[in-house]
Amino acid sequence: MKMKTLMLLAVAASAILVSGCGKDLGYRKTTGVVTLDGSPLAGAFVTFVAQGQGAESGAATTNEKGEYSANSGSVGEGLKPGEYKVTISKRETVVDEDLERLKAGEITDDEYQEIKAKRGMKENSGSVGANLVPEEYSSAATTSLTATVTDNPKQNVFNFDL
Amino acid sequence: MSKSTKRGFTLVELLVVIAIIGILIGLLLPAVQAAREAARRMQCTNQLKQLGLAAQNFHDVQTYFPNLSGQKFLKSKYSGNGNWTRFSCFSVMLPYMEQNAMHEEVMKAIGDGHAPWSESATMPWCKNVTAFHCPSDGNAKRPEGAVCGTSYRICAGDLAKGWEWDEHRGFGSDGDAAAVGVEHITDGLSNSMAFSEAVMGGGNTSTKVKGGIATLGGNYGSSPTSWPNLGFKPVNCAAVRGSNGEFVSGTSVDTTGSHWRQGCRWADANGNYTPYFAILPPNSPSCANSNAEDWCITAASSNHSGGVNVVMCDGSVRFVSETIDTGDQSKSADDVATNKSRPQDYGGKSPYGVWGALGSIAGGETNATL
Repeated sequence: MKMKTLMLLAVAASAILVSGCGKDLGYRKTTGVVTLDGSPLAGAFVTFVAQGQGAESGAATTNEKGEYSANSGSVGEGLKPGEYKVTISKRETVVDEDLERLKAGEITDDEYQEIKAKRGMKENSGSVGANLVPEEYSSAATTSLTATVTDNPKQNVFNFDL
Repeated sequence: MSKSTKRGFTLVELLVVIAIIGILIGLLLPAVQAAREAARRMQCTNQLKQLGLAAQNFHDVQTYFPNLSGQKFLKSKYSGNGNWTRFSCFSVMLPYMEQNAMHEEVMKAIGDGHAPWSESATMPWCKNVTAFHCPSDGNAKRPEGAVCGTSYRICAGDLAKGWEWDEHRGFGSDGDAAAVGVEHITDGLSNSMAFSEAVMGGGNTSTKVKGGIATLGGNYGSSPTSWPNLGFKPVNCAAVRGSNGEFVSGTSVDTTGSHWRQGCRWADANGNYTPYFAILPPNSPSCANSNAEDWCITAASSNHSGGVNVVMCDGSVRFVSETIDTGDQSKSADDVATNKSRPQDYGGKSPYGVWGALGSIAGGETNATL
């Protein structure tokens, strides 16, 4: 009996020693669903732009069900409580044909670098696809979407229908 | 038959002893591992310090610091060679790191017109340089004959715009346009970062945030004009940060090839290889537009727990926590710069908190404290 009690004590003591002490950085889980005309919008960028004290800008991408879970731009998983403006955008992917040729092994890295130098650096990065959601939602200046993140994660569910 | 008076141990007693020993070992093992990591971290820190000192020695001889790209040091000799602008700071710092033989080889290869991405066993940049490898960075060492990489990066400042914008607000400058000397670092040498750690990418199947580069495509910014003018919003990089140090599933990672991964060419000045920006918090995702080679913004990172080591322009090494204040990550260079076509002329405070302040050399933040 005595042995058993000792053993239990030892296990309990080691469990306490091994477990670390977590520190609450103040980030709260913030989730929701984005739909476009009623159907889930996959692959969209949802950005929470901080308004005022306490808030810290964050962002998320939506999965194939349109669901997102936002992270702070800092290290936190989730967002800090506060007021946010929300922007949502999804752009068409622009295909870089030369890059596709490189991936397919049709040209070498050396040849790609040459093509890149010929195209000029400005043209390289100038390609951007058309926005697949109404443009007003893309900018913090024009968006009508807002969210108030609270301390209670259960209340931090924000669904957006565009 | 006499009864033995010698009493053995019962099974329970033995089990208890084994359990106690097990628990003690369990307690000790993390401590041993931590001690090993502490030793690796110390070596890593020392090498970073050596880089800082090498930059100082370079400055003593050349009157300016090594450049991020367009090495002024190479211009007079090799500007006829079209690839000279692509050579990194590390390719000109070798003589100041007791690597004279390697330096001779590098200069000869540049003189012969070779590019820093040329992969051949005879190229000097296809050799591992131990001084560029942090022992905590498990991916740093590359097979001989492949282009070899670095666990250290030069600071490209605190504002990012397009690919074509090579004049930065940081220690790492484009030598072809403006080389940085001590006189340009008005925030103070001890308040501005020179180099940091950043782990090397794990290859084209890795989904790890550290060392990975997420390709966000046109979703980088949020204005309808063409991408370089979008005003890159660093917060969008946070969108691809998943849990347990992985990208969220479905994130496009630059899979063009293991030879395009972060940090994998120590001699190449391109964005994904040798610079880092003081914008994204340490250990957060690095992002690119369509591919990492075109243009990307890289974060400092390390395998030490909780942050990264950086060396300041005065040669002092400091540990920066990954929870350092990084200001408003939804701000872009366009939001703060007075002249949007030349944001590098902006002389005001960094929008990215203390981290950004440490990254700019002349932002007017002389009291940025960690």
